[in-house]
Amino acid sequence: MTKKLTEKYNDSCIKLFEFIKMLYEGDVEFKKVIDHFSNGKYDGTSNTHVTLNKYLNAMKIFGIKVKKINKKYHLLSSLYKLKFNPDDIKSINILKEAGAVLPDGKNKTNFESFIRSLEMRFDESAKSLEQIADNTQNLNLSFYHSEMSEQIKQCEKYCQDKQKLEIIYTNDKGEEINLLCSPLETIYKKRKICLKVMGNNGSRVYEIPVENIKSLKQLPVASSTQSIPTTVVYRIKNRLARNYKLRDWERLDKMESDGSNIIINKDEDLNILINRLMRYGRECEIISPKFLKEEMIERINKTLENYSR
Amino acid sequence: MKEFAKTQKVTYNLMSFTGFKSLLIFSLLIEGPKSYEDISNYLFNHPYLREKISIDTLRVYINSLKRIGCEVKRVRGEDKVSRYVITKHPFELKLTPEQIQMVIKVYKNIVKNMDVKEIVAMEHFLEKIGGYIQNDEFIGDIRKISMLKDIDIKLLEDLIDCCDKKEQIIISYNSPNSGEKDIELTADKIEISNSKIYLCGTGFEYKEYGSFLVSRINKIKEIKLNKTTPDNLKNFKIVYELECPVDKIQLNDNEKIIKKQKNKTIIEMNTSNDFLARQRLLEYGPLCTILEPESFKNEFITLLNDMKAGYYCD
Repeated sequence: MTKKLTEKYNDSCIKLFEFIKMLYEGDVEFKKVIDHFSNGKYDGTSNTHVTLNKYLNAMKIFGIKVKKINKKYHLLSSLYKLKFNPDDIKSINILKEAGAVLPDGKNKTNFESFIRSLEMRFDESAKSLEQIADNTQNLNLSFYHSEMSEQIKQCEKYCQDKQKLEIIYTNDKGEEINLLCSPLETIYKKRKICLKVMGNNGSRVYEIPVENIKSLKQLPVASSTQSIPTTVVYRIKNRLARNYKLRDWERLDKMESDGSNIIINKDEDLNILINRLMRYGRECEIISPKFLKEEMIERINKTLENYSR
Repeated sequence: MKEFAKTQKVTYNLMSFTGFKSLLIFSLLIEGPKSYEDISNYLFNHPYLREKISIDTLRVYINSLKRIGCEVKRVRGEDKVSRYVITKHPFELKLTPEQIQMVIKVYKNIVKNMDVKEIVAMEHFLEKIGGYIQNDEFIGDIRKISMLKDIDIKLLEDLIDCCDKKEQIIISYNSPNSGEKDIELTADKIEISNSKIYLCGTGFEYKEYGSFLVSRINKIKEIKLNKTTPDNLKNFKIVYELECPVDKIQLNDNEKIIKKQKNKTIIEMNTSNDFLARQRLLEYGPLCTILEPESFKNEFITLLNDMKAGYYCD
């Protein structure tokens, strides 16, 4: 190893690549660059700045884009390119737009620097593909819509602030609902972004699509930390029991001798859960809590009323 | 630079030729193995250089590249010619552990919002990134949160292709009720429901539209050259009323609005599968009233009464 390092090398080549290394690590101040090329001996009169310009020109002619902004050099394109196909570019755009709605902070900065490190390595074809993707907006993910972006960021902030909220939102019927609650997190569901909250009365979880929120007010009261989401127990039978795939927030409690299964469900919006369990018809039955069982019976009765008119 | 823009001639006053040559040599060596002849000829033919370099000069450049952290290997082919290649360099794509965590977190957040084609593309892309950063753990973590973890991606891509072309296919299917069997169907679409991926299409055996878990499909046994339509394909029309604002309605491909009222909408559904239709209408609960056909409506009422009885029989 020592032998190799004592072999003849080219100082200009090393200086240039070390400068590029610095640029890869982040923006580099002019003073640091000029010190680097003058071996720390720049006194303002030497011609190091001329040498620096020659190196910058060599990089420019080779195809590396470097920009000087506020006395700092900033690398815009990489020394070498990676190959990305149209599907890769689409995936990068999906990640990029999902990252754009992250709350400001270290995580967002980290994620953005990952995206930048990819974009910097785009070749000409990837660059034009990205432009086409930007223009066509073919991602079809509603939460990417810029008009909702601010609302989503606001919701993320409320979740971090951990203070109670007063929300007015519309339900499936289009009715306005007023809800006092504690914000939990923002989640992505069925191409919608939802604000997940814990209701003030009891421990009912709500997942409210951000687009359904009419108004949102932060209250000067801390979120309740004591509440535990309702646990729902239900039985599934026959074909459903054989084919059922547990959700991340569910577990199988018991397998009965008749082939039915008892499922324990925690942390799901009860309105969404009851809609889903209704779908299963005769093959599903809520065991507890009592209030949800009654809600299901009421729902069945109300549906039957539609046919008794 | 102005001079260059005007004359397109590169002089020593304009740029560092040594720096420029080192950049060219670097880019040649990361492309793949290059011999001294290859490199020297490339530099000679370059419009801004027009000069050959000696083998000793090349060695100096290679030593310099090694010194800045490049791993340069010399390989000898069957022609006994030495070729140089850069196998590692300090400018490769790198992700910090925090960045890796964030990529996984963001993907986990959005994966349930993506369609199957987007997921397949994303996983190919992330696998590529995993390869660039040489991190198997990253690829493993992506797999853990993936909806494709139990699925043969190549088979899924073939099924997507069959759906795009509406092919008539025979699949080998591992049914939970009747074991392994062959199913003939006209492939229609790939759908995600409850984080599971389904192949939807019109089956020839029951002559109705159905969905099949992709993770239970072993293989595509045959793609029929001549497409046919199953005889006596079931098809019936269901008309139902939905009590909610029109802008909240999300129609399926087999549905259309036939009448709009203030807060009520009348929808017509064309289906061959009464089970799937019933499930969809049950989910609406009291918001939905079936108007016709009478037989389907009566079966639906019986089902609701049975559900109700189930709660009172304990």
